[in-house]
Amino acid sequence: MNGTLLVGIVLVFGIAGIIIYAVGIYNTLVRLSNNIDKAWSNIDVILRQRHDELPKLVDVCNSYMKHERETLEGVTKARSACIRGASVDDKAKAENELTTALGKLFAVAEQYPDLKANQEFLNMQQRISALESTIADRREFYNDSVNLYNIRIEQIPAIWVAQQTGYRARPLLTVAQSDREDVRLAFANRAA
Amino acid sequence: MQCPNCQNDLVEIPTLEGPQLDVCPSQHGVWLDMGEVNLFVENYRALEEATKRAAAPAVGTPLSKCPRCGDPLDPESVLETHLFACPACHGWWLPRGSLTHLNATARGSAAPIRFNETEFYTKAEKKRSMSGPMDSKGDRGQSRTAPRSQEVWAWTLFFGGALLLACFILFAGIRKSVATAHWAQAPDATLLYLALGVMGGMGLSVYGFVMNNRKHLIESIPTCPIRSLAVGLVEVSGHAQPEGDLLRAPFSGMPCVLFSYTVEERRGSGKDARWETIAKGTSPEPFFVQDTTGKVLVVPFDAQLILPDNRTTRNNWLGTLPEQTILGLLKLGIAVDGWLGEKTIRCSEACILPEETVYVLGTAQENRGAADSTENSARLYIGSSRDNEFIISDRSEKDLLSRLRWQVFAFLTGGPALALLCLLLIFKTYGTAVR
Repeated sequence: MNGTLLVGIVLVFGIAGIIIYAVGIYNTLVRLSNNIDKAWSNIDVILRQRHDELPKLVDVCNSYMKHERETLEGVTKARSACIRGASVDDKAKAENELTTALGKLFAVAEQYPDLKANQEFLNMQQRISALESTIADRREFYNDSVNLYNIRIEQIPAIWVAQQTGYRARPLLTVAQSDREDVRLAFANRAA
Repeated sequence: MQCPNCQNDLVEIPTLEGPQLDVCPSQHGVWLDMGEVNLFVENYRALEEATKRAAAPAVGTPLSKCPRCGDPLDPESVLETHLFACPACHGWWLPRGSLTHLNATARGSAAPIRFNETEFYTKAEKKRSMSGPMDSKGDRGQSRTAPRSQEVWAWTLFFGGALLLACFILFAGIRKSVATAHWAQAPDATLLYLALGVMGGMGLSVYGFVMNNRKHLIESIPTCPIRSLAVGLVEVSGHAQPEGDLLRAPFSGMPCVLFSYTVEERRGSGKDARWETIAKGTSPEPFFVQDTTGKVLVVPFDAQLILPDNRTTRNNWLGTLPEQTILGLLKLGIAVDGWLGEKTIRCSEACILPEETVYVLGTAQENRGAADSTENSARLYIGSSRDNEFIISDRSEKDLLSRLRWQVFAFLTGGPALALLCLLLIFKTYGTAVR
């Protein structure tokens, strides 16, 4: 075998190998990035379901919790803010406020035994609690997806492919400081 | 969002205090949405009181518009700190140094809040220089930075050109070899085996790439709690449970939720004897996978089973098969008797036992026959799809990845090595140059 042929074989296989490997890394980054977008959209789907349940919940509570208008209005306002939210960040804030408002509502509902015995209210409460759990799971899943992506684009040799193709680190979903604090509740019918 | 001073795009910087901060990379100041300033001051109640009292406008250079909503900003003085407030969205624009001054003035909590404002500006400047057009808060979570097409094209042309050049060199080398070489010995069976070796090596390399893709797919999908499964490609892990009655493994009779089997028969004699597969299959019955959050149905049709623990039964030294195995074979419609007595048969089976840990990577789909339910066990099932892989294994994800890693290493090194070795032997043994 002559030298030219040997050099040719080594070069062809070497360069083809590098191209195939780089394309493989790029395709992985595409998949990881799309997984993040999908995880984000899946959170949106459940949030929308939660918005749809809330008017029914407020209706059921209205007839029993006549003196807790502030609490009920808080839920309604927060829901409207979620729907109106223009940017992703506005929506995220509004959703957090809605979660807080719902937590207050369910805590206040404990003071109304008639409401607690209402089957429709119980079903709604269960449904919304299940949705809240799903939202929490999907947020964790979103963060897992972002974490996998961020790790991958910082590993060698994917970091070189990522830098050249414009893939940058994505932020995780974080909890706002206000959500870490305990919520203080005021009951309209609390005995003095 | 743009800086009210210089109209440069604001850069989003993550902070330890919680929110993403919008910072002017030219160090003119920072933008805080309504409420965010509370995360940077210790005594936020004092700040709240001071904000209510902030009536007298401070003397300062009037700014144009709010980065968030475009309304004119009002200059204010809060706790002796000069800032600009938006009357519409209640956000604050703090010129450089104002955030630090506000933090210093509103101290007093047990948990100190300390930060370095200069560091925010340094990070913003660095981020701007690295990434070009900035993404604003409005795009967070939704944006995907598009590949920079110019750089991609440049690298494509470079590698494309290099490959073309390498092909020319290869072609030149082949022409030279063909022109100057002759067969050192006539082609024979060894040449055929070596050629098969080259093709086999290339085939192994291709298989190694397929394994590598599968490994990347498993690595790139996080495990999802069953309670919050979404339609599409998902990865779950949990304990296997039968949908109805437990199944019985065909040859051992072991109670299980899923089994697969292979039956081979020894055919031929002497040097030509070989094992031939005469039957193989998998149980079609669906089963549940349950984790701590819920359970979901798995339909194993068309799944790739990775069940490394095989149990094999075969004829003993008297040439007879165990009774349980014979019953299993008869149930499968496989005759055990040949015209010279019992056939030489080897039966392998693998199964997933009840409550055994199982890993499933597949496509979650709507169960059309199910009643409307919020529970995933009724609404969805995991099955095969034309576009996605479908893997069921009794190994954990970590073990699976470890096995795949070794397989990828073996195929991607062994395959090219075999191909190259056979190619070199062909040239060395059968080709020689004549001058």
